[in-house]
Amino acid sequence: MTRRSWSVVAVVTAIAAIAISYFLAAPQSTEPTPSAPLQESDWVSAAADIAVEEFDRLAGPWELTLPADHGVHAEASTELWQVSAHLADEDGQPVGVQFLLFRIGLAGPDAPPPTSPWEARELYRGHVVLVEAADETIVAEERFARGMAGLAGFEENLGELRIENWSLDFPDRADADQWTLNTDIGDIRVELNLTPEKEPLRVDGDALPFRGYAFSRLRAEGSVEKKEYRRSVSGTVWFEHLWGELPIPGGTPVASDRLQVQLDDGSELSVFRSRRLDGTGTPTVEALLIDAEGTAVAYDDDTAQLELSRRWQGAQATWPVDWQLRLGDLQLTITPVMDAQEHDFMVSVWSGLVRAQGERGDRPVSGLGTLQLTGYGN
Amino acid sequence: MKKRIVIGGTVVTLAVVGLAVAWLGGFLPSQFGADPQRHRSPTGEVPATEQRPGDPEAGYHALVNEPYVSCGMPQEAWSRLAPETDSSDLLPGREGRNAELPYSLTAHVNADGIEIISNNCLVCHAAPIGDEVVVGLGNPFADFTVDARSLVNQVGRYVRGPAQTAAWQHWADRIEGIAPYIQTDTIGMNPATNLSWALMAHRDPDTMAWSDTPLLEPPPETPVPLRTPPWWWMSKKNAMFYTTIGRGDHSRYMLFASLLCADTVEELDEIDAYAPDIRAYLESLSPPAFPGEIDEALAAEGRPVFEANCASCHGTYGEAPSYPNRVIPLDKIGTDPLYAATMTDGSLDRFYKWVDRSPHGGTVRAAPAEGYIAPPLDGIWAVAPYLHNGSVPSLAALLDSRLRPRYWRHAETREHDAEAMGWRHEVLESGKDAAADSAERVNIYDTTLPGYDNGGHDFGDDLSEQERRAVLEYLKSL
Repeated sequence: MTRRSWSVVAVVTAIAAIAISYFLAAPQSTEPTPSAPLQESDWVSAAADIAVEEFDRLAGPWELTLPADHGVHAEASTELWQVSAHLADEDGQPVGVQFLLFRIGLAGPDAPPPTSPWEARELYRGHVVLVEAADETIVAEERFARGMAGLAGFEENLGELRIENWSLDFPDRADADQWTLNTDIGDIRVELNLTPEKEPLRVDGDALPFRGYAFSRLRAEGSVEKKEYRRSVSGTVWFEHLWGELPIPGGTPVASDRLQVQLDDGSELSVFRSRRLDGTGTPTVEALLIDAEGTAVAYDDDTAQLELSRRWQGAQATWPVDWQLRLGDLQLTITPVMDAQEHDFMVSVWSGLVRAQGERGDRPVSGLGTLQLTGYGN
Repeated sequence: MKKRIVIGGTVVTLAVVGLAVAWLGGFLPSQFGADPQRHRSPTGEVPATEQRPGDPEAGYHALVNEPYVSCGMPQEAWSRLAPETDSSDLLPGREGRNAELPYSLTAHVNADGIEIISNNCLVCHAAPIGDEVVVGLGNPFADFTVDARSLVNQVGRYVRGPAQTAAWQHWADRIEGIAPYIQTDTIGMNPATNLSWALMAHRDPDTMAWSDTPLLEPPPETPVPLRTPPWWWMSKKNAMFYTTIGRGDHSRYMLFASLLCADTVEELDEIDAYAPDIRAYLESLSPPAFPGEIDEALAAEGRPVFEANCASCHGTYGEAPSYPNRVIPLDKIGTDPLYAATMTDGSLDRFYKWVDRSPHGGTVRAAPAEGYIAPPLDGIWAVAPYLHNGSVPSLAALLDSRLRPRYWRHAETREHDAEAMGWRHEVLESGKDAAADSAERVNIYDTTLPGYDNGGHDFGDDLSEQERRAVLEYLKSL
């Protein structure tokens, strides 16, 4: 009994074509996720539900065009910009900075023009996290705003992405390779100058319902300024920008963890681990290794091994903070620079700076990374 | 081992129940355990079995519209993930949402009011040649090389709300059960056999109830490499599949295709109501006509050579066609023995017994022979790659074993070359071991690997070059 009639399960095939060829940006989960599969949705996902009705899936050919594509794509229902900085202070102590901005479109491209400048067409959610290993401090802030000139959004003539006084600047033309991130949390001011060191990787928009690109390595120089001191910091940054049908956490039965690592041999690593929130099923892994020349190789469950080797009990949840990874001849141990990096954002999330140490073949490699864990809290 | 003993016990109990309810008619489990040969067939001629009549037109309608695979992904998640449907992937005769879906997908609304998109038979049993979707052609590019669980989780990120989640979970749980057994290592190879065993391992044969933990020892994880044969051969074949394991009522055998999702006997019964129509449709299928020019004089020269050398196994064609329905023993055919050997070495008998205990027991029987049936050759020009394991890329190579490449891959263009009677391909210097990464590896046909051997069926080697040319020309006309 075989073959022909049983073909069925190929549930896979047709759709595999779509989903499998993911590339670095296999569906993102940079937003916090609720913990239970049927949990009440937060307002972000509620807003996203509204947005879904208004927008069509992006279709047709697309070419990455920079700097224009740094800006808002109003035809997309959701959009994400994310900076993950892996730095060191003057004493060589690790410093991590995360900046994330998420846009939800409330009115689609066919909506009539707004009747008032106060009419909200977009919602923004942003957060900034600063981790300093030297004094084991971590500060974070979450912001919400509606899209409005000077408040939140992208100012085309300035090439500036903004939510209140946090900004990411992509200067046009003259200094196209010199970006600036400016944020503050309370009285701590973080300023970083960013210079791309590799060509951007482009999301395969035919295979995924969203588009975008990633600069997996930018050089970063800047400072962390507090009342009592000013620290110079330097290191590397990973920048991603995605738009389209991004998976919005909230009421979904699957959550994903995300790891980004930048190694001292010039390579970078992106790992997604997806799992069912009810604990059933087999977690799956999608990984991408980008070598020093910028060539990317994808790994899946057959070729990547991932073990969660230690959990840390926080106030919100128990988080799997230590990872053991093996991709081909690369072996890495991932440990947080400090355990307590959970954040009581709209929903709880562990999002922090991690150390990576291991070997590629017989050569030692190390680096820093950002680990984002979602869906473990209440 | 304990489990098997318990199940053996159940068989005995069932037999008694079977006797008691035998008067009620319908599908009844019955006792066949006493006959050790029940689950084997001899090589040689396959006897005919009467089939339930059906309406081919109704069968096509059911094939492309009915939800005989009743679990899948919520339509809303599909609509967000899916690219635009290419108009060349649309088929006529589809209703409602189906009219806008690619031919291999079918939509239906479940009991909770959630619209579900699931695969249908055509995911493996249709493929484009040129601009046209040929229904019934085994898909030479079906890709089962990816872990299905990864896809399930990707879809899960787009599922919203309790009702959609419940529908997704039903599908996700089934895939979880079978995923370890259906991942092939080469594109075009079909894991349906192993899939069947995996499903049976998880289902109670009496009630069809699903168990997340296997109730029988599951099959080996690696599927034996197999190429999907065309549907239009069914009207001539007295038993289904290469080893003729599918004996009895073919439409009920096909019903096992619904085992992925059908959780009750009643659901299977509903599908059984139109299954004879689908079978009748498959029997009504004709092969696509050869699209190129045929050198009639050369073909006429080939016909007597064919009839003298090939017809005793493959039958005759033309005005008074014949087909002998013969299974050729492994030692005579000489093609890769792995499939027939594993089907008949006793290692899968627990699943043949499952068939007996299922609602179809008594009307269908799993009884493979230790050999391969010599197929009809209608439309043979279109069904490359050849042999049961798809190891030979063109018909010319099938008739001359010296031309068979040890390592090869389909060309990126996926273009059928009617003149060569095969898909355009590249001959490679090395096999899967030398592949740079998994994306390259899954495209390589490596005939040195278990189950992939391209030897055997070397009868064409004895013909002269001219005779082979003539036979090849004649084969274009079948």
